[in-house]
Amino acid sequence: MNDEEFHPLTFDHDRCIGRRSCLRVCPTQALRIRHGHPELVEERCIDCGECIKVCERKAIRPLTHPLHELERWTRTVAVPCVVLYTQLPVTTREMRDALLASGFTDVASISPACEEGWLAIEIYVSEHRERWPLLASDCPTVVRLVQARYPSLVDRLLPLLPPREVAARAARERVAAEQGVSPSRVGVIYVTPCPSKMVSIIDHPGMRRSHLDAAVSIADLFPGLLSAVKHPSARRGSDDEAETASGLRWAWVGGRSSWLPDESTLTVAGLSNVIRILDDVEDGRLGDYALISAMACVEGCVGGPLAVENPYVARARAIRLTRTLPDEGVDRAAVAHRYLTGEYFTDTAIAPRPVAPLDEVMEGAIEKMRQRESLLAGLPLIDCGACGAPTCAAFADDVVSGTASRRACPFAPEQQTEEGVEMNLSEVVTRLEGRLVAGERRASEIVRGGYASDLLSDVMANAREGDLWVTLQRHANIVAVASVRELAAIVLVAGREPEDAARTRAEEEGVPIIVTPLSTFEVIGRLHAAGLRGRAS
Amino acid sequence: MGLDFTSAGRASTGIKDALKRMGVEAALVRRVAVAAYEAEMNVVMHAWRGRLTLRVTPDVIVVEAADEGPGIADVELAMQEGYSTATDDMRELGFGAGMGMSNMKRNADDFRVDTVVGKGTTVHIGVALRPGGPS
Repeated sequence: MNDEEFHPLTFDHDRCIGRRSCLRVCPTQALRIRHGHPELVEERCIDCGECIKVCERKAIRPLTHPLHELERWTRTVAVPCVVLYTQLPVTTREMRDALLASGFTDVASISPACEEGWLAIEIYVSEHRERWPLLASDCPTVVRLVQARYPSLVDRLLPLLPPREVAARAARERVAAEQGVSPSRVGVIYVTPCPSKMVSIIDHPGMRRSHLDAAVSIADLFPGLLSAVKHPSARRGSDDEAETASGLRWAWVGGRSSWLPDESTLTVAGLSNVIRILDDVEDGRLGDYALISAMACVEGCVGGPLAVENPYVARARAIRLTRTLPDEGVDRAAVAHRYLTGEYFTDTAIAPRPVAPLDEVMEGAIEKMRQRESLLAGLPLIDCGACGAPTCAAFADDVVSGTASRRACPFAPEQQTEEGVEMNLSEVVTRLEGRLVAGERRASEIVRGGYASDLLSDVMANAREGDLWVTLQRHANIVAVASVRELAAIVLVAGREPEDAARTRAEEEGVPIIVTPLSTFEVIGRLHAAGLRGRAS
Repeated sequence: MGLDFTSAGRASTGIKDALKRMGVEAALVRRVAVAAYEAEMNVVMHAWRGRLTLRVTPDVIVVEAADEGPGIADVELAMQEGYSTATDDMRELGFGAGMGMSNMKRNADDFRVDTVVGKGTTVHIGVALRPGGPS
């Protein structure tokens, strides 16, 4: 699955001037700058669209379905997110007419589905007290965040269809029946304020197939809607206008996300806030809340990257619109009955999709984590981004994972310290024209200095942690010494191979051994010339 | 980090991030997270200063919370659910349910408390990694 990930954005390198604001804003550190332009680390991206919002050059483009694709179906039903109604100072009816004038043959309402879904949430939550706090699953980015970063919390995600899916299913049935066409000839299109819905349409967590066929962007539709509102024409398609004040409240943070009483829900918005709350849940806290309603965008869905209007104006308008609509329209008894038939449930449980670990086996992961820490200790920790990674920690991670070179950091690698430079083992091997005969998995180990001696007790007394030890001894005891003194590696000079026992033990204890054809004098000369130093005495 | 509530929880978050990066199975991460968070909060609430250390070998995850603080006079009593010496201020923040120590023990495979009254406490939380390493 990880090989063919879809993410709803493209990079326009011609527009990019390398400001790197996208690099810093990404909440999951999924961007790297390579050759001056951003690149996506796909497994880390959760489709939040923060990079799209922050780029003033518009060099990161959201991917939604283009409007001309609407011609693929006999009927095209718009299922507008409630945010759409807040984008222009018009009534819900006028906005729906504008949709019908912009290429849709039918319009559906999402409020009834919101109300049904919220009732399903209320029932489910009361039946599953042992898993409190449960996590609302209507924001695809939050779901993806939980899958990637909180695998132990996936079983708290509500296994219920979000309102857009419930609305899409009802819309297809209605239009197919009303118009006498096959359900497959009906295209059900979400009018979306964010590109993450594209991902949930292509691959909806917990569903075999989404009830939606496509998503078009509010921003793409906006010019057409604006002119349709200015020059209204007679309405042409079918409409089931049933929006309610409650449904509209779904558009903003703290508006409404279930029928649960306010005091049993914890509402959180903005990914950095969501991450802190999920950390708390993972630590075993917040169990006194029934539901956590989390949204990726700080202002809620009105703040989506594809919304046009200022989110605060949009919310104010939504509040005004609620005054013009009926409060609610759900038939609770009917929904409770339908809940029992299972029709609000997803097909399967949502599975975790964690980022691949540093190494497949624990020993390797521990070793790489050690290298990461040791590299990080030598970095300036100013998160300047010059290396192309968003933080020094992300850079250290990239280096030990093999996706970045130490040299990319202008401060740390081979930085001139009082004690000379540091270099990694593979560089030592190259400089000594040698080869690594044991401990290969530590090839990126950092060497901090050197010591040369053929007397074991001298090495025990005087070599420093992280030193390279140059010697002609080749028996098993050299491995024990290197291991106890935590030396970076042993260099065997003049082409001397380690004895079998030494080789076996070195593999067991993870002590790297380099064999070089050069003499001791030549080895030390070359490494010293490259900047490696011994202990000042 | 004693009594600095603004950054409380940060150490356990760092521990979790490291374990996840190393591919430790989700259920184990969660157990360590709960225990580490409780240990961290005990240091924040009761000690003057302290340090959380994470050690990982292929067989075991060890979190050690060592503090300089008042120590625990009666460890057996402190282990009892509901027993707490948290102040009213702390209770107002939702701490001090008296579940911390037993919560740590419940999530640990190996749990030890070394304490000297007037000097400090070291809590040792060991969680066994399954044979065969990460999932």
